[in-house]
Amino acid sequence: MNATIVIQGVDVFHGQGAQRFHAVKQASLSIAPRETFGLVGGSGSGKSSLLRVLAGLSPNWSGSITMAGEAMPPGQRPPRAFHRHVQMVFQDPYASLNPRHTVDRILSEGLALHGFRDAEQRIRDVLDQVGLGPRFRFRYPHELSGGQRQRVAIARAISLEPQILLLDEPTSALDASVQAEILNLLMTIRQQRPVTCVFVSHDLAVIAHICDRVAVMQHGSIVEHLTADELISRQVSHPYTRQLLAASEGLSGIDPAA
Amino acid sequence: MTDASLLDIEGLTVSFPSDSGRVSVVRDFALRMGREKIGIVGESGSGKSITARAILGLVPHPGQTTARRMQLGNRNLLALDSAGWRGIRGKYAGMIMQDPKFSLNPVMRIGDQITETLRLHEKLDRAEQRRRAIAILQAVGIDDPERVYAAYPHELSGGMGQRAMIAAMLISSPELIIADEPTSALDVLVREQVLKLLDDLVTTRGIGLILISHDLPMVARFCDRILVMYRGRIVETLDAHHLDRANHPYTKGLMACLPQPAYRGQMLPSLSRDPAWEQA
Amino acid sequence: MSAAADSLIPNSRREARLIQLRIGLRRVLRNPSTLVGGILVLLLLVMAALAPLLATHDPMAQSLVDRLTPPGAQHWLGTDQLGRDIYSRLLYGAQPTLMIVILVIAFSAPLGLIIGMVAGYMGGWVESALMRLTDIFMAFPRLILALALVSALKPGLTNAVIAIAITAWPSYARLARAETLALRHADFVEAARGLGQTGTRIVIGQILPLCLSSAAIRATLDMAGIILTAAGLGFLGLGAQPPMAEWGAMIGTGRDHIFDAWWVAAVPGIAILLVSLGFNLLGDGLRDVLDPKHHD
Ligand SMILES: Nc1ncnc2c1ncn2[C@@H]1O[C@H](COP(=O)(O)OP(=O)(O)O)[C@@H](O)[C@H]1O
Ligand SMILES: Nc1ncnc2c1ncn2[C@@H]1O[C@H](COP(=O)(O)OP(=O)(O)O)[C@@H](O)[C@H]1O
Ligand SMILES: [Mg+2]
Ligand SMILES: [Mg+2]
Repeated sequence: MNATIVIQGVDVFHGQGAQRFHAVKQASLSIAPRETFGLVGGSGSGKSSLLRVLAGLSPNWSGSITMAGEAMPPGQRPPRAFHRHVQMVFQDPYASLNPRHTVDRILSEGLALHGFRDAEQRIRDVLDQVGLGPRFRFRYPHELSGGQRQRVAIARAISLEPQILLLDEPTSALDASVQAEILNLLMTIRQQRPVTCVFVSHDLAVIAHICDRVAVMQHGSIVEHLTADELISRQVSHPYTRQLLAASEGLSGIDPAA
Repeated sequence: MTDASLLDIEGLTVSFPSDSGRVSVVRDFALRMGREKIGIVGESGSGKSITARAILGLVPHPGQTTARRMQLGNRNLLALDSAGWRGIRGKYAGMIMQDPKFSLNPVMRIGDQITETLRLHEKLDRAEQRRRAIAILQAVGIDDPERVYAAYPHELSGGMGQRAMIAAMLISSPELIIADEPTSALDVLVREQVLKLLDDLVTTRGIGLILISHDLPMVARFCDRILVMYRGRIVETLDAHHLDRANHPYTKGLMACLPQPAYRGQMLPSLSRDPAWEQA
Repeated sequence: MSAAADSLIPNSRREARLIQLRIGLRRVLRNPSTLVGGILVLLLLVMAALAPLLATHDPMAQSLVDRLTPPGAQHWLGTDQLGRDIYSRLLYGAQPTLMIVILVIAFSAPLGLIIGMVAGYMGGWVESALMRLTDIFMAFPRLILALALVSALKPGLTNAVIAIAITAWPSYARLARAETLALRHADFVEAARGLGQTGTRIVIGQILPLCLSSAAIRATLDMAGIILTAAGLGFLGLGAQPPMAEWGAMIGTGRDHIFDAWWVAAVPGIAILLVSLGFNLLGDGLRDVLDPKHHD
């Protein structure tokens, strides 16, 4: 089977000229259909920068990227149809919803833009699917809790039935109990739809829980590739990964004794 | 370790006015602690920060604080006016906030912010102030204290900023430090270092520490006792080394919903809340 | 506030908007400055709209026998030097005042918002060019530019409006640019881009709604200044032309009799004072009510 996401020698930059910052250096990855791939690393390691490039949100990169069979051209914004297949969920649910728009409007915008005819039905379905239901349809973001907002953001992303779902630390701004609910929701979505996910987090326990394979990033470079099993049994070789493991030791998921 | 005489609080309640009358966001909070490390955990909105602010007399307007007893050492906090509170804060008790970006003054050099409490509470000449500030910066693990002393907050990374905050807190040798989510804004590795530092300093200097966080396992690693808060109330007090002895379904629920290798790829148990928890 | 919103669960777009409106209205009514300001502004609206019904005399009718009558039973607020009833002229005078305010805001706020948002969103040389232009217009003292323009064109209401509007838009442009710069890379704007939205749609759909509340505050505060400028032009004979009743012009004609017939100038003067006070209070109150930093 062909890979859904292929990244080869990708460099990502911020800014131009003398102020140019090299945020991701020579990243290479290949992610299979329906796989959930984890990206871990400390803050500033370039995880979000890479994810935003994959989402078609920042054109300032070089190298080669193929998403769902289509090559992305570097240096330019992808066509509208690209976004129909690739959707992203942001870290902070308090910032990723327009405070002046109702849930209904937030969900209808994408559907209208991509010419879905049955928008009405889809909005109702997708609200059910993320566990919110029709009561929430005409509320404003400030009337929702953090977890509910993140459900709206996920609903917005999956309403277009994308093949690729990019999740940038979708649970790190949430309480543990709400994190569990969101992780469960993501697993349900994964079972119901043929979707390939990239899941960014700094929490190894969360990554080990939901991902099949993992890439560890440090200072913009991918320093190690691991399977979730290797991560759980601590079969890691790079010192930075060991440090990360030590920092989350006993925290939860990862067993210090193993 | 357990001379329960540093902080003694009983019946602390904080309320805010709302459309439907006064709402208590902290209810009947009680804590007796010595020079030990106390953790307060609970979900967001459970009243952790407001409790911390109440202990330092910093509840924002129009909040109201009442308590049956509130003592720091032999000082009665209930009898303090705002000048009295200023005499307590910084000198005897201090607070470290979540994000150094917001709690450090952006237009003031780090050195001046650290020596501010000294200027407020002690009469020292500038050279002596500077000497003490540099020493404390070194103590919090900053390698080039001279540079940091002269730097502005935006020139420091998050971890450095938080260290500077801790230094500013420590310089007047307080008896009690309240750290409200001190590491939530930091990188995982930096988080580890800052917590270790705080732990060392508090232990070697014999300072009482209240560490506030929503992260139960993290708090358990650094504290002696843990108070679990739910909707403004303490629902359980735990021995940090025996989380397995937790009784309350809320505490158990909080631990159960963390991802664990045993549940890998499976649905996590979700926390079902019981209205009775708010009364108990 | 959120408790009230929780108990009302909207079932349609319209209901959601109505509930928001009700919550907003309640907040406005609870705030003393919006309440007082709102009442004063409402009074102005009522005066302008119902002038023909409320007036006791024809505002243009001259009667030289009755000239400079002090306030009394026949003429509630007295008469001017041509014997016209001041109360009736005051009512009719609310119309050009309101007209100027509305026209100026209707022209300058949208223009300023568009220029500011485009500058903030596009950045680069477009931003530099537009903001330099804004600075130039901002640098002119309002009344002096209006004076120059009106005397170069032709005195009259329309030209007064044009003159004031030209000096009014830059403040909206600055405000909109500042807000747009802050919002340009907000997550929800990125999310809209991620759905496939582009340029104009993002500016109008995502950014504009967030600029509107501060623009509304700005506009309300501006209205007081506009009224004063219009009155100033009227006073100098460069605004509304006689015999039209306009408050500034009314003061102008009362100037010669200020010692023997104080009411001729004082009555429209007090009206201008109250109305601009009203707009100022309303704007200040709206800032409290609409500014998200005040309630979260
Ligand atoms: N818009 C930007 N302009 C300049 N530098 C940026 C920008 N966004 C991110 N960076 C820099 O790129 C690096 C990687 O950032 P990011 O991808 O957000 O890291 P992560 O998501 O792993 O925390 C950081 O050093 C950050 O300061
Ligand atoms: N200034 C305030 N006015 C009214 N209510 C407040 C204010 N600050 C906090 N609250 C309420 O107090 C409760 C507890 O807040 P907080 O102590 O910040 O929670 P935590 O720190 O545990 O997340 C929340 O429900 C919050 O809405
Ligand atoms: Mg990131
Ligand atoms: Mg808090």
